[in-house]
Amino acid sequence: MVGFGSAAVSTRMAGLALCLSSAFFCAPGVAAAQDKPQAGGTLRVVTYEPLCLDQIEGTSRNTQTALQSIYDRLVSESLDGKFHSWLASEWAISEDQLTYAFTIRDGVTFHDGTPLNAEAVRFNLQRWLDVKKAGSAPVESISSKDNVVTVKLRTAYSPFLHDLSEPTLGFISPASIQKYSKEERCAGGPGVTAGSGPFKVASRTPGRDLVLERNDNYNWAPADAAHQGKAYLDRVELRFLKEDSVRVGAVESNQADIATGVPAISVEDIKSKTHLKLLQTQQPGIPWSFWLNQSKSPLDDVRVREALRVGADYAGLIDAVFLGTATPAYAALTPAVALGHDPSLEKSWTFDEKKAKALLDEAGWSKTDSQGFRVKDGKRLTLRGISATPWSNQQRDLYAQGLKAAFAAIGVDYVRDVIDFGSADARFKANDYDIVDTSQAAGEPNLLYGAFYSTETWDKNTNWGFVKDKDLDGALADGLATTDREKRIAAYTAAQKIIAEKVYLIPIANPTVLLAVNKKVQGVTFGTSGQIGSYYDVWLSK
Amino acid sequence: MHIARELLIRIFAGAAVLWAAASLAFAILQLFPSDPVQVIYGADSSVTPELRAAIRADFGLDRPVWEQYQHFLARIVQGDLGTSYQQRRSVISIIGSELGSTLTLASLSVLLAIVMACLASLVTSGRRTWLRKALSSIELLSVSTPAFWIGILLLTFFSFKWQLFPVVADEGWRSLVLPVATLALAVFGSLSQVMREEMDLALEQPFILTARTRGLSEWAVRWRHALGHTLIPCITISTETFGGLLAGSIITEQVFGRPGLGRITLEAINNHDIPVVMGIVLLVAFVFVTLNIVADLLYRLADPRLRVSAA
Repeated sequence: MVGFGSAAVSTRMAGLALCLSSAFFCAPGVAAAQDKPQAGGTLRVVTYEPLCLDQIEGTSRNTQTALQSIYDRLVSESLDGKFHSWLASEWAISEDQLTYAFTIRDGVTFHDGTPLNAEAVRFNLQRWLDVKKAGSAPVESISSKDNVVTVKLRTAYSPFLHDLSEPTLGFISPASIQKYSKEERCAGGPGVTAGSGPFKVASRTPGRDLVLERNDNYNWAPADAAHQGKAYLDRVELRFLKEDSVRVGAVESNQADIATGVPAISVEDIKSKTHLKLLQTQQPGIPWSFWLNQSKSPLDDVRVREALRVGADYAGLIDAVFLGTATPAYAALTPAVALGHDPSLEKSWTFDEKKAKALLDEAGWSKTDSQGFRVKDGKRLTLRGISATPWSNQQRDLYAQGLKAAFAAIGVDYVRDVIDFGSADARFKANDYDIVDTSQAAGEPNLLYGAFYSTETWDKNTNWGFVKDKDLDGALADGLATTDREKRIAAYTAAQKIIAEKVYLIPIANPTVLLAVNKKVQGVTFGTSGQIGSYYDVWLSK
Repeated sequence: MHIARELLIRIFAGAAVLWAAASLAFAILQLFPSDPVQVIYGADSSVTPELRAAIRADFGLDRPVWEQYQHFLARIVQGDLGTSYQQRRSVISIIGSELGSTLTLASLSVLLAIVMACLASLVTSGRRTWLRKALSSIELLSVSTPAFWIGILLLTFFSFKWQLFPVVADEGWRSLVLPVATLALAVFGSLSQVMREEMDLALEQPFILTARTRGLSEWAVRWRHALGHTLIPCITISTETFGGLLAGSIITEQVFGRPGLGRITLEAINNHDIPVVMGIVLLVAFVFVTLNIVADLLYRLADPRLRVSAA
């Protein structure tokens, strides 16, 4: 399973986020250094709503922000892409990369009082395999003996630890699964929703809010957390407000302490409020990009693809449209992917209208029609782009309009349809498009496998470009076959070079994630997929 | 006797409307280009072919359309609206848990709008005063401004700026004020325009002159004699609006982050959660059918002439 779209994060992929600049707050523990953390208080967060509180049953949409403090995972991944012990006190990976043995920590209990032991972990992993086919991790078998859980894989699969660290793979009390129906678990509530995390559910009103209270028994924080023991906050009130401007208004008027999903247009306004700070991180994953369909004319010709890449002033448009909330992208992985982003590609192409025109002439698109668009064999050079509604936003729409004008200047007719996901799905299946624009969110470089490996076309993944490149397949397979950090970085760097050289993708903008936070709130972190981190280390200064 | 027979016919006609609505909705949703499996699994992820097949079998999507239709009708008759693709909860329980909040909002808004519109027409009809001009402008403004914008404006001033009514915290009636005002304003515009028009006409009737010659005060003339004439359009518009608000207060619910049918309608349509969409279509059809019957009964109460002709 691969996540895509700005709100999406897959269970297979890994994430790590980097701080955009030192002017902004860096995670974790930087703010905590100024002051001694204080216990107590209620944190009020305005955010999006998770549909189902049982993450394995429901879709993964919006679950991370709201649910990650309720459920614990086997291992924890820090922003530099390294793994730390959590419910697994230690683990071993066999030489052939096929067997993972996790030693489960003693003394952990779920919110309903039942023990979280190796058997409970096995039960949860088995459910993940049965219901979700383990994302797309090639899991063969899961077994438990004493305090060790052993997972056997069919083939080597390097993102496995990352998958296990994702918020969507938090463990639920097996007793609660036997006791309550799917429906009751999805609706959730105190007693029903039984994780083992630092907070437990105090109440839930669907469509309105989810209130969490501190789990006073908590003593099994991940090794990379800023502190150990209980959480600082007494309560976390998550209030669900869909409308961007209302969430921003709520923190500005002090009715809430944190707003997620801050739109670019509100940035200046928030900066002008003395009681607020703006936290910003770059979204790990694949930048907002053009996937170019190479299965048919005209984008099967690398000269046309190259002409598109140099034929518009992408970087200039970004400053004008994104209001400082995005940076120009050159590599297929955003700079926030610590494990793999290739910085050598920065500024590796620049706007060159003359070169673009020459390339198009050379490719045979030298005549123009009455409207000034290029034609070849009586056919106009029209590029039909698709984006799905959840993948686009005001800035991207505006940017695409700017591109349309820029492309028209070199004689290319660019049409972009933003359609609902179902309609987009149908057009992907019918191969009825030239360009797909979206971004993919997850810090695991193996995202590139789903987006470019030759067999990963839309029927199972997101190779919208129908890319079929032996060298690229080789690099991506290398990255998948080893958990060795240096070897993986080398493999994904090679892959990004090939993607750039053959123009399989035009990366456009590295998106950022914005939070508006009251200055009294300390210890806010970002998670590995660019989302707001757990509320475990968060505290309120008086 | 007559009423009972008429009611029976109405109920049968209503059932036919429901069946037609269900079938039409089923047909239209078959034409949807989306693959339900994608919806069930989550629109933000791609699905392996094996999992796809498993989900299709699970939800009966692998059977022929005709069979799915029969199954669908049979379930409805038994009162089972199916299970949500996304929430994995039964549609009945989803609608049940949201209905209360929407009913509260819709009935308070319509009630407030009726009271405001009655007052406005009592005070201003038949007169050419500055008050009438001012009220007409407000009506025009409320009719032509999207509820979304009214909501944001009210929030900006009454919640963000002056902090009178909360949008985040739940403080009982205080949390209800702004959403109710938003919807009521939107309904008030058209209701008030029509009612005043009707009262203007009534005030020119001979019976009003008779009443005046009997020495009744202007207020009594309006209150006792003219207002009754505005009730028929008032009933028509407000029942229709009320029905519309059940699934149609989407924007208001979204702006104020309130639970309710509008929110789940939007969510279900966006995510192509077909069972939920169907459930809501049926509910709205049912509510309109019922409201029409209720409105007919109310007409008889409001207008004695209808009782005479029916007898």
